[in-house]
Amino acid sequence: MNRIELLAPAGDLERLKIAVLYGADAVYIGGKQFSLRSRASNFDLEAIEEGVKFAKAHGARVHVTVNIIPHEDDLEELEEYLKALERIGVHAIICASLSVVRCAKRVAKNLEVHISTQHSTTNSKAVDFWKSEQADRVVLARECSLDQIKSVAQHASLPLEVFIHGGMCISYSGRCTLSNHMTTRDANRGGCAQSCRWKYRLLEKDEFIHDDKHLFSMSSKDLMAASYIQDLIKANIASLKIEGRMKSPYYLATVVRAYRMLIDAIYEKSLDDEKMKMILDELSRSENRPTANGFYEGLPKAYDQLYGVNGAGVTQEYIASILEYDKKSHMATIQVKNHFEMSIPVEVFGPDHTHAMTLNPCYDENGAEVEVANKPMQILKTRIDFEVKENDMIRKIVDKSDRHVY
Amino acid sequence: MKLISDCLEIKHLDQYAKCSIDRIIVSLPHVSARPARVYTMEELKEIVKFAHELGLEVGVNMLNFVMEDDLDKFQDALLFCKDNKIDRIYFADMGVYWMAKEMKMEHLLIYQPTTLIASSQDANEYLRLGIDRVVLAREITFDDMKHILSHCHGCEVSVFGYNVMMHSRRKLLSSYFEFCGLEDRSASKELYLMEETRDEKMPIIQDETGTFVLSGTIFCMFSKLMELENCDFRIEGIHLDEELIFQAAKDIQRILLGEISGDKVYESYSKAYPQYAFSEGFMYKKTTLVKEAGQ
Repeated sequence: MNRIELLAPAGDLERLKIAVLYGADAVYIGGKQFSLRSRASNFDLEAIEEGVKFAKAHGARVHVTVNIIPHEDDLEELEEYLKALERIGVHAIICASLSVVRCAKRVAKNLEVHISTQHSTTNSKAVDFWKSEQADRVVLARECSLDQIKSVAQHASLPLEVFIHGGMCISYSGRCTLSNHMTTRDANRGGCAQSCRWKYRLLEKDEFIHDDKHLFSMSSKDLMAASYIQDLIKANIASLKIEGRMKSPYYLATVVRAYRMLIDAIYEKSLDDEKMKMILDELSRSENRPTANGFYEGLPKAYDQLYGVNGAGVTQEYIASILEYDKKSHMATIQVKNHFEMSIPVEVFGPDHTHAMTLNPCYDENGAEVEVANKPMQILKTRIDFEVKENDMIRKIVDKSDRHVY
Repeated sequence: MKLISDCLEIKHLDQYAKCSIDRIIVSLPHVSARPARVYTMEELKEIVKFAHELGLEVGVNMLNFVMEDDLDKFQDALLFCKDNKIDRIYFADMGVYWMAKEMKMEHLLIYQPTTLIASSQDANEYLRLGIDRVVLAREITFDDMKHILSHCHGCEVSVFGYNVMMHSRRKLLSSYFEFCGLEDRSASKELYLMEETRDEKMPIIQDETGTFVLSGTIFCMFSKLMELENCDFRIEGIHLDEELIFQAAKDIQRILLGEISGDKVYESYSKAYPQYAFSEGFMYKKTTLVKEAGQ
C-alpha cells in the first residue's frame, strides 16, 4: 500500500522549498495563468521548472492549479501551457473545468489530472464520472464528514484527496459569487475578496435583529484535522491537503513539519499521547485563525464560526531564518523577519529538530551589537551553541494561555 | 425557445399555463436545493397529471449535493421521475448525472451548477455527455452570453429573479443566534443581510440544505431579450411573489412578440414594484478584477 501523501501549498519558490524541506511529499502551486488565488500565483514557467527540479531532487512532486472557471476568452494558449507543464515535469494539474480536463488528457497525457474541490465532489458516483473522463484523482469537498469520507473512499474508483488544515470556504467551493457581487472580483477567476468574512447587520423585514456587539458574519474557524489522520490513512485516502497558497514560510514550516511528524509516527506505530500533544502544540503555533474540526464531526456548530476576529492570525512569533552556520565558531548568519529584543527565550527549529535557548547577542554587518532587531530582512550574526542549517527558523516562545479569540 | 419558471403554488397551475410558461420546476425534500417551495412525491404525482393536461412540462429540482449516504434517496428520486413522466431534471452534482446515465435517462438532465458554465467550451463539453441543456452562470456579461449562445445549442438562460450568491451547508443563522444568545429566527423567510457599510438588503434563507444568500436586487434582463437566440429562458422563483412571476412571464412573451419594448418594461418595474430593487446584474459588468497586494 502506498504511503499517504502530504500535500502542501506554496505561493512562490521560497515557500515551495520550505514546504519540501519540512516534509511535504508534494507541493501545489499556481501558475500565472489559469489559476485561482491570483495574488498567490507567482510562478511563471521558469519558476515552475526550478520548483520541479528542486522537488524532484528531494523526492517530492509538484502539482499546478489550473482551476479557473473559464469565461469566453480565458482559455487561449491553454494547450501550449499544458504541454509546457508536462515537458518540465509537473506531476499533476488540479482543475475544475471539463474543457481543461479533456484538453489535458488530449494534449498532455503524462500529466495527472486531479479534480479540484471547486467541483464539490461528495460521493462515489461523481468519482465514477470523473474516472470515465480519465481523471486520476478527485479532491473531496470540505463539506464531507469523516464517516462520509470513509464511505466515499470505500466505493471510490479513483484515489481521493482531502483537506486537513487551513482556511475554509463558507460556501460549497466554486459555487459562490459573493465576491463578484460585493467587489466585482470574480472568486472563480482568482479574485475572491472573502466577502463572507465581512460583518453584516441582520434584519427581519425592516427591523434590525443582530447583536450590536457582534455583527453577523459567515466567517469560519480554520480547519485542523490532526485528530483524524489515523482514520484517513486507514480509509486509504491518497493525499492529505493543507490549504493556504498565500501563507507565510513560517506557517508552512510549522504546519508541514507537524503533519510530517504525525504521519511518520502513525506509520512507525510510535504515536502516543505525549507525541500527539506535542504535535497539537506545534500546530497551535502556526499562523492560523482559531481552528475547529470543520465538517469532520458533522455539521459545524456556533463555536466553529468566527464572530470576533477576522484576520488570519499572523503572530510575529517568527523572528528570523537561518541563512548559514559556521560549525567551528558556532556563529549563525540570520535574516530578521519580525521585530525582537535580545536575551529573550526562543526556539530554533528545523525539519527534524527543535531547541529552546536564550537568544544570544546579535551583531550587524559592521560587527556592532544590536539592541533591538527592528529592520526586517536585515542580516545579523549570533551565536548558537548547537548545529543548525540553512532554512531553519527562530521563533519567540509566547504564552498564549490568556489569548481569547472567538 | 421555452419559458421556464419555478412553481410556487400548485393551485395556480392554470395561471402558469395562461402566462405561456412552458415548464414549471418543482422541488422535493432532500434532493432539491434552494427551493422556491417544496412538495412531496405524492403532490408531485398530482402536479404532473394536471400540468400535462394543461400542456405544461414538469421539471424537478435535484440541485442538492449528494452525500454518499444519500445516494439511495437520489436514485429513488430519479426512478420516481422516470416512472412518473417528469420532463426534465435539474442537477448540480455529477453523481446525479452518473446515476441517471446508469438508468439511461441522462437525456432528461439539465446541468445547473450555478457558476461552472461560463464559456461555450465548457457548455459544449457538458452537452456532449448526452444531457439536454446547461444553465449558464449568472456572472457573465451579455457579450459573453451572446457569444456562448452563438457557439452552443442547448443553453438555458436566467432572465428574471434573485441570484443565489452563496450556498453553505452550514446552518449559519442558527449558529449566529446561538452564539449571541438571541431567539432563533432562522425559520423566518423575511431575513436580510446588510453589509455594515452598505445599504443593500440581501435575503438570507436557512433550510434543511444549509444557508443561502441572495442578491439584493432582482436580476431583470428584459432590455436584451430580443437579442438572445437559441436558448430557453428561466424565471427563478425563489423569494418572489407569484404575481410578480406571472407578470414577468407575460411581459417576457410580449417583449418577444415585439408588442412592447424591453427597456420600457424594465424601467416600469421600479415604479410598479417599489418593494423590490431591480438590476441588470453582470450584463455590462466584467468581474475580472483581481486582488492586488495590500488590498
